[in-house]
Amino acid sequence: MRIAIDEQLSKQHILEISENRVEPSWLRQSRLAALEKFEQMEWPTGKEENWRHSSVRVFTNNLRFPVFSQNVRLLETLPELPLLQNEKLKAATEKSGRVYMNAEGQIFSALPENLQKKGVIITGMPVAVREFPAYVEEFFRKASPIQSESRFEALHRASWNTGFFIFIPESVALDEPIYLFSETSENEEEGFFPHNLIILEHNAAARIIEVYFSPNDHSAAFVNGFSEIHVGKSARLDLGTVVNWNDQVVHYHSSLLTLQRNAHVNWITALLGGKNVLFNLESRLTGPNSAVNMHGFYFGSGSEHFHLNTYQNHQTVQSKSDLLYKGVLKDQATSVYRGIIRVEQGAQRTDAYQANRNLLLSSEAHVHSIPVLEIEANDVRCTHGATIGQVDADQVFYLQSRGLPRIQAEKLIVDGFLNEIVKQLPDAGEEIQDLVHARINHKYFG
Amino acid sequence: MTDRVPGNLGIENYKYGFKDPENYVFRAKKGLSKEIVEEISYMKGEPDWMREFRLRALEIFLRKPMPTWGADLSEINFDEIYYYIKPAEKQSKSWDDVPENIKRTFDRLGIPEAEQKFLGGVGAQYESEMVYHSLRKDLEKKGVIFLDTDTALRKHPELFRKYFGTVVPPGDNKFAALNSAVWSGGSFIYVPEGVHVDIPLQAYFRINAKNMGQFERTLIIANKGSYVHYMEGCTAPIYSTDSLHAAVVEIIVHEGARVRYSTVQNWSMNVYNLVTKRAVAYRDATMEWVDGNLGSKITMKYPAVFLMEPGARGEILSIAYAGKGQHQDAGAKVVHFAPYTTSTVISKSISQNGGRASYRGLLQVQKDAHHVKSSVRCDALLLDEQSRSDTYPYIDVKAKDVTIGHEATVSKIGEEQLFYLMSRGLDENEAMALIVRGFIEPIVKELPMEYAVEMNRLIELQMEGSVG
Repeated sequence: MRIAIDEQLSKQHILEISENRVEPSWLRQSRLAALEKFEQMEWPTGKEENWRHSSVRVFTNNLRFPVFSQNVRLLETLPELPLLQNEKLKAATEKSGRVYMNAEGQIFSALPENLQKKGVIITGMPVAVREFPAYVEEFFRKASPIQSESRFEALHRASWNTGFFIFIPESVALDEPIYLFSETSENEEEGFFPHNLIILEHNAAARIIEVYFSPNDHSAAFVNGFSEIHVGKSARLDLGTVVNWNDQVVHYHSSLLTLQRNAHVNWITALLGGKNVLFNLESRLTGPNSAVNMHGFYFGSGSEHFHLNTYQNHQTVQSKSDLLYKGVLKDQATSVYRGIIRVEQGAQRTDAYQANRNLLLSSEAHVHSIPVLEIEANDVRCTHGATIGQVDADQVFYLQSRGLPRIQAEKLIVDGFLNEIVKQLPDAGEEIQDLVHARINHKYFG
Repeated sequence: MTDRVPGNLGIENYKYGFKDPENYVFRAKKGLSKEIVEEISYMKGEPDWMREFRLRALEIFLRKPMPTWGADLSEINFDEIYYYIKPAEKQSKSWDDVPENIKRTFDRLGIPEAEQKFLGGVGAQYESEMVYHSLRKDLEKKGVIFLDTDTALRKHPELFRKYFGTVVPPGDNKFAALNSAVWSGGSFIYVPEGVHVDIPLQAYFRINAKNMGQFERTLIIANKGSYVHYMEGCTAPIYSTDSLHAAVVEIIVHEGARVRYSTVQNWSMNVYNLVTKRAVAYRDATMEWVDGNLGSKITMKYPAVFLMEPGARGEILSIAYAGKGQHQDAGAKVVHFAPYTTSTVISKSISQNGGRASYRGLLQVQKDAHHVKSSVRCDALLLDEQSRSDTYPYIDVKAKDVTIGHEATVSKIGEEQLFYLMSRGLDENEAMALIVRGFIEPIVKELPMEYAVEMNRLIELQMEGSVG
């Protein structure tokens, strides 16, 4: 459904989605408030700092709305995903919670009984709204704008259609990772607007791995996602996001991670495929002794464009953040990394690090790096670095002298460069890591 | 662990806040219009092309919006500024001709006469015109030209026209356009092929009238294989209304030449210092900017080097100090247009008493500029918890086979460092001053001795009574 925005994103349509789904009134209000904001705001002009070197038009021209009339369909069984032809991965997903969702509104979720008894909830957002409205409402009420809030977030909050809901109660620690799968539709007119909510209560611990993928190698799609992640006092979270679209997908996504006192999070993001992918990743360190690792990489080939905006927001004393994003760019691919370390007044004894390291494999590839520091407290340790270089010719020569063809040698070095990040994905076995390597292989050898 | 609050560094007690009575031959009306620009051009007896250049620049200035990034410039009122003032003093050739009150001013700035004789030439910009100019005879014999820019336009019209406005065109930014429309004074230097000017050339600038913008225009041309070091220092008296300084500096470094441009900027606390400085460097040429920003209310200054041909090298060293009510938005800009070019940027900043120091830099590698090497290093020191430090580096790379590195750190003075020095008998002030001096030393040591001394003296002055 190709929709002229101003005609179609009306109050009536919003009410339509909301009524179709029998949503509670607070949710309807939240959608209408967002719609109002959407109507007041303009699209970014492209001159904004967090849009530098990216095209707003690619996003607005490819915009597709979710199908408003669609109903949520709960699946009895997990569809035959090509991904799960890997028996080991399939077995791993069955040990713990898993959710599958797609742009068509289908949702499958499963959770072993012992975890259900402990109060763990792992399901689709529309289901959670119906069955656990109190939890969802609390976090919707708390929602606040992200640093790079734009009209896309307003659009999302008004019209999101699906998503994950993960709730780990106090002092519950999961042994096995949770697997989340998101798929776009073969129908190119169906927009995909997932709204994900992940909540870890005090002292909880979990590993979560999410994979975004396309149904085939050619269907275009528009995705406008939002993830909200709350990590309570002394909780531990390992979160891995693998974006593995085909090269026709346009994806705008904002993620907001809030850490309370003593919370520790490893947040790994891998951008492997997509026509134009823009991620805003924001960490708010609101309690002393909270710590976050924001690590990740992007690997662009063909004419893919990846844009990462990161925000390390230290709001209180003695918190720590460590950020490292690596980039590899082949062919005519382009990337933008823009990251801000923000230390608020009074956030003494902050320890923040930020690094962006890029490898350029082609003279037609472009890389932009903007690592920013904004420091308003004096007793801090804040350091950042950015590097741009290429594969070391001596290393390639050495490998070639050992009998490897040039391209293999180069790939081996690139693998080594990225493996520091890939191996941090919170996998049970190494199946998702294998998936990542498979995609990189594909970028090299077709 | 308690935080030491170093308190007042004393820059508010501005040392050079004295002023001479105003005495002018001609002063244009306040505000900016086509008539004023034409009047300036007429008063200076300029050729037609320059008048047209000015008028074109004025149009660009009026058309361009104010920059929305960087420091807050909303308080500048362009209608409240005198754009041209011709002082009573005529161009002087020898030191004896310099009027007493101006000599007094220089004495109070601490440049003794003997020292000036030691220096190659002293061009002191008093208001909008050069009042004093001398150049050692031997340099003149070698064909070195060192004049104020207005005189150079009269005496060397062809050379002037060939280079003027080629590095910083009027359309570059709003303040470059303003300068192009109303420029007055500044230095013009031409160094012929192969000539090595082994003593630094120096000009001292001062602003001395209420609401007077100073729009000097400096043009330096270093021909093949030559070398010159130019130094610019600024101090200004305190006034209650805001003053605007929008200079343009253009430098052309031809094949194999080397130019170093050093600045110690110490404007008083009400000056808006918005300067466009840019150099182009050709094959195997070297351009070096050494830039110290201590004074002014707001400074926005990003010395730039465009590396046009293989082997060119750019180096930018800068220090910024931001005290109470100050925002130093300084940085560097390097564009690599050609392969096998290299650049280095080192920036140090100190923030205190609620001051804000920002590094804003651009490093760009154009398509096909392979085998480029560049490194950028920024260090910031925050002396108390009200102050702020920012780093905004932009890195754009469109070529393969490049080696680019950027690094920045923000820190405070270590408790252990202070404790150690105090245990050795230094009081807290002295200890802090010592640490700050050590922090900026890598850049200060690049300055000629008299400047290094002045720089250290200023820092000391600021550190005086800093623990209350």
